[in-house]
Amino acid sequence: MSCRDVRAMFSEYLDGELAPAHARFLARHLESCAACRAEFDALRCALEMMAALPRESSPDPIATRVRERLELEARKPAVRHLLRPGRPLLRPRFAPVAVAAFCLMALPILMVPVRPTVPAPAGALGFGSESRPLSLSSDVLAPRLTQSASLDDALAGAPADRSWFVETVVTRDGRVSAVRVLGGDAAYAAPLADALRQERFEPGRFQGRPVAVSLYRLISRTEVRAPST
Amino acid sequence: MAAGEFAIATVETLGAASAERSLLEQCRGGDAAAFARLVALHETMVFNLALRMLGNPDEARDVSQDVFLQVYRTLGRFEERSSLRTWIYRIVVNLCRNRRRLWMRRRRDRSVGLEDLSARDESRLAQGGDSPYDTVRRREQAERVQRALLALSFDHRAVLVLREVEGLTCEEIAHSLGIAEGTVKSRLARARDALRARLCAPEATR
Repeated sequence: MSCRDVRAMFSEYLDGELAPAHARFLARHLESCAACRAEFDALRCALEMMAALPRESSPDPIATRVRERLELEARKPAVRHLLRPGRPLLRPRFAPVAVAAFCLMALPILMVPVRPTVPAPAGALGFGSESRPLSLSSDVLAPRLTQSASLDDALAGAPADRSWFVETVVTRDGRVSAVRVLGGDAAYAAPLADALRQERFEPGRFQGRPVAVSLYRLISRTEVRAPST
Repeated sequence: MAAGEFAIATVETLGAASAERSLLEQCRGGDAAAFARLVALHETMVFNLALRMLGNPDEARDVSQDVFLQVYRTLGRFEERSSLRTWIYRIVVNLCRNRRRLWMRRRRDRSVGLEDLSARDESRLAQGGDSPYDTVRRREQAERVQRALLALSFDHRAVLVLREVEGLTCEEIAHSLGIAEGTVKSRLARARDALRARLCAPEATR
């Protein structure tokens, strides 16, 4: 197998998709061929630089711009045909109420700080790090709560029927690096986020190693759901 | 649990898939607050993908707005053959491609906006404990990567950003770009090699 053939396998090798026999051959070749090793290191360097690109936020909140456009369109009869007939998302006669609700729900999102950026760990592409947390799936073992937060003070005075939709980023060492209140009564978003930052977890795991995980949870006064597993 | 005590629903009941399904049902039922949540969940991802594809924060913001308007208008036709995220990625890529064609027709300078981008990057890159030197070095590296990306073809850039920045699997990229998975793998290999040649060729790293 020539160096050219070996280099053609780099991409699959990095993705772990090369057949074991080919992967072993490639690893041995890299030990003995300085030119291929330099090219492989350069490729990995380029991909790590790309994975380290910072996560950006829009100059203006996009949710606000979308809401304003929808509001504008709701006022213009000429664009009503754009809403799908039969099963529209927003019926024109409900538009003012819906837009008001949209504003209410967008408020806590704007109040919560953006997720901090952390450089990708050396030698990895950064997935499962705090800046690129994984979502739960069949491959990702969910973090287990080891120290719960006391929410009674944070939510004191909240009506019993209130609930909040919250994203929590659990780090690789079980701490909480970010909390975003995505929905619910905006008046309680900040104290709720502060309280939830005190939670501690047994970290989530992917292929046996600790990873940062985004959890999506509903918080309510009365409802407790049993684990589905 | 005593009445009146706050409780947290267990995380297993709200895994990403079930949370997404519930959100979709609410959006389709005309719940504007649910649509606001959908925007909040995906806006960072949409903006960043558009930013890396176009290299200009203002253009990326405009495309992001158009993406969610299109999502809003066509959510009823989303058949859930792929995840919502993958479907949204597809819309982002298509709208960025349209925007790019418009630029080409107007002969717009490809590098426009990079200065804006680097200025914004600087504030995000200045992390706690970093020296000014580290901040400048990170900014310069981000600029280099973005320039290298913009020098690639649109198709190569799309497959690279979806894979290396957004972390999609080849199957998800195939859904997002509407191409075969085998094509994704071969295109990804060529795109990675093109990026390497521009960023980290051995002679360039000396």
